Amino acid sequence: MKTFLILVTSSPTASANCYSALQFAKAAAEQSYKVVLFFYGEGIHNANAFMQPPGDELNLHKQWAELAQDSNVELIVCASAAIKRGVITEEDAQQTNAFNLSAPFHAGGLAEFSQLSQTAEHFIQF
Amino acid sequence: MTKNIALVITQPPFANTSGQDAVDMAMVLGTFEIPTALFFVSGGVRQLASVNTTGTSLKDFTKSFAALPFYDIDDIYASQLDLQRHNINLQELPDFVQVLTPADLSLTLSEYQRVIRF
Repeated sequence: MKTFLILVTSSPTASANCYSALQFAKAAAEQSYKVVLFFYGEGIHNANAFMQPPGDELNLHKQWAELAQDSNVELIVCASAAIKRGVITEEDAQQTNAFNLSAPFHAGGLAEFSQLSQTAEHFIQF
Repeated sequence: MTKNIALVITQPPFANTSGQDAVDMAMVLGTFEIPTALFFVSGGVRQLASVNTTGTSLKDFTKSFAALPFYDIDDIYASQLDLQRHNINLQELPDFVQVLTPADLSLTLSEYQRVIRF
């Protein structure tokens, strides 16, 4: 199975890029690629579970989570980029008393991205 | 086979955090010995001009670019055309920067298998 690495650096609210990334990831998973998302820069806000748009608006966090549960898609969030933007795992929540980064998203590092950049057959950025 | 990576920097230093994000990624890629180049284009050439953050709370992360050769990142390019547009004197550029004409820029960039835009 070939891997598609998708780097998301766009903010989920500042452009339509993340919605495009979601559609692309869905299509790649349907084509039997192993899809790995790496969220970096402003893209890490996709992983913020505290994003709660009204029920009739697009909820990207929910859609990413559903995609990961339904198909062979992995959601990695750069831990250092996330923590400075207030997207916090349970392990790092001592100072914040709350966390908003949880499964199926998981914290990773740029080291993981470096390795994926070499092992993934295909790459695209949104 | 190793896939080489080009980081294309398009934004001026303090407009957003993308310059810091780019340098963070470059250092990790360099640490893992992945052939990496930086291309400063468009407003990104401003990252190479001198900045003065005295009296501000901003961190002058642009100093970090000078450290990249220590991470084995020696291919650092800037667009001649964009430097002209932003009135940046070539003599003031750090000596680790190679200036490329538009034709050489597109040719050099085409040699990279992975292109990441900041």
